[in-house]
Amino acid sequence: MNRFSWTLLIGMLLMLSGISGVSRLSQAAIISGFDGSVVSNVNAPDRLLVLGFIGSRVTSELIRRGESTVIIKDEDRSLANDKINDRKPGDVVN
Amino acid sequence: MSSVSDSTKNPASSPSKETLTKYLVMALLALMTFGLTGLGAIVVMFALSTLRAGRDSAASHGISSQNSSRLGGVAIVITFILFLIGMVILSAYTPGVVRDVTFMHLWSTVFVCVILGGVEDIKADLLSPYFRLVVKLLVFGFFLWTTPNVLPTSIGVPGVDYLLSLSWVAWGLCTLFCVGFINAFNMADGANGLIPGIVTIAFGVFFLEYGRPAEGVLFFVCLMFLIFNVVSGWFFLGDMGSYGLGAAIVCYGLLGVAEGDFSAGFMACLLSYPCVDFVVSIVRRMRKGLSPLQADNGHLHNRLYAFYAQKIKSRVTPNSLTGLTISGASSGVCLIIYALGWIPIQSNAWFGVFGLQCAVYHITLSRLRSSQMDEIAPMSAVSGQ
Repeated sequence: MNRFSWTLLIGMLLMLSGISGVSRLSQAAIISGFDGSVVSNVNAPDRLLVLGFIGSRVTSELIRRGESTVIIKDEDRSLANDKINDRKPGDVVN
Repeated sequence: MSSVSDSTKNPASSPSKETLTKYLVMALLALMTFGLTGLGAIVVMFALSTLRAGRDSAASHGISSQNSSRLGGVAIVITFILFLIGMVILSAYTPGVVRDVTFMHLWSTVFVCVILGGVEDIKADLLSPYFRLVVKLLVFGFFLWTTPNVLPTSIGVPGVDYLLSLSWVAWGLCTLFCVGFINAFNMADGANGLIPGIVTIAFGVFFLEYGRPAEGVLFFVCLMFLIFNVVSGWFFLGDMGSYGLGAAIVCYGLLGVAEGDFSAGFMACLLSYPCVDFVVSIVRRMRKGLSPLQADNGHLHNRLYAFYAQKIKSRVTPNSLTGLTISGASSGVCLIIYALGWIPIQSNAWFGVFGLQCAVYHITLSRLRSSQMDEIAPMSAVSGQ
């Protein structure tokens, strides 16, 4: 592979690490029953490393608001419903 | 894949100190804003900026003084699609085009505009301006015909509201407006960070309003492009970027106004610079007896660049400063008022802010024009002796 291909591959892998990070946070929010711990933890060092200051807040906003973001796969839906006690994804929990 | 080595960007075989500084600044800004994800986007854009395809010489652009690539739009589209594919695969995200027929039509329209611009970026003047105009009219005409819920029925301006109440007239007016807006976006894309700055702010506002992933990804991609464009100056948005982003913003704007999510005045204020500059440029050219679409160097960004270039001796800084000043003073002001909640987003009071922006535009342009005329006059007198 030439230099162009290597550079493109590294860039794509770094971006995928970020998407994977957002996905993991969404899953963590579902598992924790949207108790606000994932949404409020915007300055965690590992999260800042992968998503940065703005990205971390954008992710929190997506999880907080996003019924369309935290769309759960069918096999995960029963787990999520059990955990959130009839709350929909994105509902604010005080 | 044919790419340009760093030695082509710089005479020396290894990267110069200036180039290394640019790499460092871009990496730091990307890491601070979007972490490793942002760094990945910058690396992808860097890789694409080295391609030989779409490379322009400095002489072919109004205010750029270095060789650059016009494949910025391609980089934005590729980064956006990569991110969306990643989200679909890794997080079970369902894109709006699958969930909602309005978004399917909207993004199909954007896609056609992206292809239209992409053809022009890869081979300049392959499509004639009239062909492109007709295609845009057909695409938007079809979009608005098949998706009438995107047509606003009222924008708070008495005469226009009457016209919008007539469905045929509303369809025709909105089609013309959409095509005009895309051309305005393309025309205003003349300085580093100008249109990228405006679209970053616009998608930031859309994300804050709707909180949907697509706007979040577009905000991320546009911010990364803004950093790359402003710091390095190696990338232009190109026709693909200006057509695609212009189409996305005008469609989102129409939909938002039609659904009452924000006022037409707010959108006018948010996108004031391309709109005002487009109208003023057309009037200026027609008064000179030229074609309204003939390129010239009389835009505000051209004059502001000339002003900065006299004071700052650099190849990139005056260009980037011009773009950031204009995008910050137009859309940036709108963002600040919106973020501080001074005016509700649905209020027609935004028309007042838009009026003030128009006044600032005219005052700045006339002052720059007169000061630059004063400087040219003694020089021509000396050369005439």
